[in-house]
Amino acid sequence: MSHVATVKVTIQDLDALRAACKAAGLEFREGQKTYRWWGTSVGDYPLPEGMTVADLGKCDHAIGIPGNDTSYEIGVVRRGTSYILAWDFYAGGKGLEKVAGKNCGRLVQAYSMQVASKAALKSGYRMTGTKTNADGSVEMVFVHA
Amino acid sequence: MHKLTVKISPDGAKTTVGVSGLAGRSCTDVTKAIEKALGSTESDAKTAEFNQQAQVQQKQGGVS
Repeated sequence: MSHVATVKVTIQDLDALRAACKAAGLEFREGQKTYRWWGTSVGDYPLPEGMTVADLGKCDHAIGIPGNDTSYEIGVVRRGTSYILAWDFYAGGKGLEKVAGKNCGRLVQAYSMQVASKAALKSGYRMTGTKTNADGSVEMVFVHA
Repeated sequence: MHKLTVKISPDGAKTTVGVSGLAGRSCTDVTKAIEKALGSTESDAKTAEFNQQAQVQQKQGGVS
């Protein structure tokens, strides 16, 4: 390996997020301005970075479990040129965690896969393989076409 | 033919982008687009293979 870079992922591409929702078994709710949560902040956990108490429950889009009207939802909150994902994780978010993963990890991983694939293909690469490791990490391999 | 490997952590929060089979600065050009699309680069490590071209250029007296 000649060069290795570690990147902290931020949500910037809504098309990729929409595709990631589909891949993860979630539904992207375009333009939904509120997301389902407990409803009141009790102050037992830190707020998502970039959000205040007044921001809780409000969003630019939402993500939820298809056909499920009771589980909590994920708020997609615009902040400048990127987005924050906000959700109430208490008690597993009433089923949200089972689908989106702990800390929405499954959804964010699917998002990263979408973004990396798009960027690699745009740069003239083609995917030759994907594997999921025992620790849950995913490796995607591309070669230059 | 060079290979690009993207490894995404289980929680999706961190991604490692690596290139093999390319020596020198051309490999960083390859990963920059992917790094930028994903988010912010936290660390960047160049390996011995990266430095091969720089050493060859120094011996030849060239600068790229």
